[in-house]
Amino acid sequence: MTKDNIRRRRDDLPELYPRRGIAAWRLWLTLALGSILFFWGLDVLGFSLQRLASGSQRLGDVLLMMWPPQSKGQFWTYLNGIGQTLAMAFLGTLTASILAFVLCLFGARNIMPLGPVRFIVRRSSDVIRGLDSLIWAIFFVSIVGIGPFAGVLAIAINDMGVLTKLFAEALENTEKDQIKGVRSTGASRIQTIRFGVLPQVIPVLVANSLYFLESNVRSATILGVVGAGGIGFYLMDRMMISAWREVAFIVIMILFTVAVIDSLSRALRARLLGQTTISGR
Amino acid sequence: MTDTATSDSMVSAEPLHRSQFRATWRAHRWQKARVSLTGVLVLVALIIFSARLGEVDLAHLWDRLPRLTSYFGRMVPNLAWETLWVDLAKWYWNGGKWLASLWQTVLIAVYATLFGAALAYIFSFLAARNLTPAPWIGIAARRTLEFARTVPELVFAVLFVFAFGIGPLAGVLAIALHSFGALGKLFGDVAENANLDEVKGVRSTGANWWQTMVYGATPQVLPDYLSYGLLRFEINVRAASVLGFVGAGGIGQDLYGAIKSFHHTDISAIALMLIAAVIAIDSLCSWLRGRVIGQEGLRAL
Amino acid sequence: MSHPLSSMNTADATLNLRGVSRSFGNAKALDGITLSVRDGEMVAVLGRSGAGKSTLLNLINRLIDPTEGEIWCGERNVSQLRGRALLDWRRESAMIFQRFNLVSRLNVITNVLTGRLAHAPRLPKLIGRFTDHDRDVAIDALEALGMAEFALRRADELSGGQQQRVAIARALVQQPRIILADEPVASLDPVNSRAVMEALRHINQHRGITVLCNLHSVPLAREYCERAVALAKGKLVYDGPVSGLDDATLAVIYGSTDALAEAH
Repeated sequence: MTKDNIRRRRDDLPELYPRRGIAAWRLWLTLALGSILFFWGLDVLGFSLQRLASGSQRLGDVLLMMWPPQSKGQFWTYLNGIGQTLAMAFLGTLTASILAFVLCLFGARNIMPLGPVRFIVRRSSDVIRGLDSLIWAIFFVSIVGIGPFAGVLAIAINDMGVLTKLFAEALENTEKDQIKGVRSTGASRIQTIRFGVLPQVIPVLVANSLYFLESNVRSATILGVVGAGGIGFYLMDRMMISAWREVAFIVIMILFTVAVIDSLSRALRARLLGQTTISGR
Repeated sequence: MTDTATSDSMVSAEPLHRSQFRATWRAHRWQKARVSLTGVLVLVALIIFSARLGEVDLAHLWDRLPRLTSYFGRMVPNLAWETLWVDLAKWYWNGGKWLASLWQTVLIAVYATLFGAALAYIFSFLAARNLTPAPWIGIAARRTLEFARTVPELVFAVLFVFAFGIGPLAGVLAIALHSFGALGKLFGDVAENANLDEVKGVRSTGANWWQTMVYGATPQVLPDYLSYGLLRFEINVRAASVLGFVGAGGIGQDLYGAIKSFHHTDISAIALMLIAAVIAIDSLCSWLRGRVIGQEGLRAL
Repeated sequence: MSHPLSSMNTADATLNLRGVSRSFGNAKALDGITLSVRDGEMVAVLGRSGAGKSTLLNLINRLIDPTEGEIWCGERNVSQLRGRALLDWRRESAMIFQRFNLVSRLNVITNVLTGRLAHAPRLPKLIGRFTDHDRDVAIDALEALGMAEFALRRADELSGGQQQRVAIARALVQQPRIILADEPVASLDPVNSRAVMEALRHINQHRGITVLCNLHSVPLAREYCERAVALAKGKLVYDGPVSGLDDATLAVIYGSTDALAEAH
């Protein structure tokens, strides 16, 4: 193939070659503007090589100070903290699930015919979801005082918002044929919901609640930061006084607990849903 | 067990006499009742135990309920129709500062998601059992991701504030690290489901591992990665909103200050801004996700 | 003459397998295969499914490693290659698959360009920056197979026959010495099967590239290849001209007359 041939084809099929001329300039300009924007953002956020370098050094120092992890005789205190964390997650998720189960009936199109009611339920759950559970925790600490109860309430409220939305969507995704089948037997509206809709969604709701239990164990570990009980209180306390070995010890306890809860919840989900493949292969 | 044996025969094709049916039915009912009774008992025991550990006190809550209403009452600003603009201006007296903090919060979430996702992208292929260059690399990658997603952002944030100083830098790094773990796990699951034929096709040409991942695996997983990344961004905006509690930047600092010093109308003003921003970002993301998936749907036809 | 797609090396490229075995767990997929393929031959590899044909080609390309034995190409011990040398060998021994193995979400030209990934410069290719020369070669290959007009279509929008031609184009731009075709026509209808086999023969005859082609169908082997190699239960049971494939030989290869009927 001659050079002329190649040149001719490059002219014939420009879309198969990198852009040239103005198009190439436009590409480079976009890239340049993009990177300027990117680095400007980094600057706004206070990134600098010098800060990263000196910070990494300090971080390395802290990590070295964490070794070896030690409980300093506080093991049972910490275990109690872990217990509180688990209790907060469990009660919070349970309460949230029950509340959301009631509320979702008012938020699903195929069950609640009144649009305004649906609108209020859905929007208020949006508003609740908009605030992190830590914000709710501060709020409840100032209502019921310092302690794990505030954490329970924070998790309950925050997850009620999330679960209501999820449950309502699950309800709306139910199969119409099964519902029609139940209605055709002469069942009332309530009976139709009880026998046509609920059997379809209960497994979904239970599986979702268990997922949230898992993630709540993680989020409950930090609610103590604002005084809402659990292991987070001790963690924050030890960090504030730079007791790094104890911090490492607590973090390891948290890692262990989360791993246990994850496998428990996976097993439970598999049993309740009658399938072992839910968490993948 | 005889119970199971009889309940098995219930579903068999043999005709059963009515009395027999009644007996099996009863046995079946009894067994079911026993199972659910145990379940309920365990649940109740768990609830009681957790309630004691969690110091649940409903009477106390009932006592404090008036506080809740008065708390909310004090959060409502004085707004009169005649002086609406003045009142609004009073309510949002520090609006400019809050808006800047809100912007910083969103920026923290954007950069943390970008960094976390970029790192998770690389690690997902290292961690996927079917794509990893070597089994021990896969195990190391999975353990790293597990660690990064189990330690809460706030813990990383405190550590990073200590190391890098107060400000959004610590926040970005903390959320990025946690997102890296969470996204790496999700991405890895997607990557493990990739069609290996396509990967093999690229590998057989003599492409190296990185090239094989970019050309053989990435095109398959990209839509799912984008969708998960957007979901993570939504989560990260919320996470960034509370980082200020420990000095890692964002609007959390202002909110925490307002709550601590009982500036009730400030709390409502900041919370409203935050909720509006979160809802706006959520709808933007779900629209984008819809576009990513929508294109898929069309192509699948 | 320097055709852009012709093989670059002129050194001896005789392919030699010496007692090659491969086990998966306890199952022996290939058992002591000794085989020699001269430069420029077109060889059909016959056998029932599960006889080890795919394993053989995957071994030669080094997608998998032999448990025993050695593979040599000229003076090179292919079974010992590592790192860059291994990747270069994969480039030299291009593969074509039964299910085409194109990346379905990439367009045709990019799929063909993946055949250039082992050619320098490699780093810019990670972000899609192939050289203009790479693109020339890719378009050449597509034109040679009559697929240039589909260059910007997504691979999964094409028919099976079209996809296989794209796969052949990808193999060609690797500038290979050997093409290893693993059941290239098993997923295709008769018309497309012939087109693909014609293309392989054309490549063999005009570019001097050795072709090893796993085939299910004996008639296709008789028509397109001079030499046939047959496997049964992982062992080499026939090596000779296609004309030597009489009914008795076929019965050994395929085990029973039923399976034989299937092969026709």
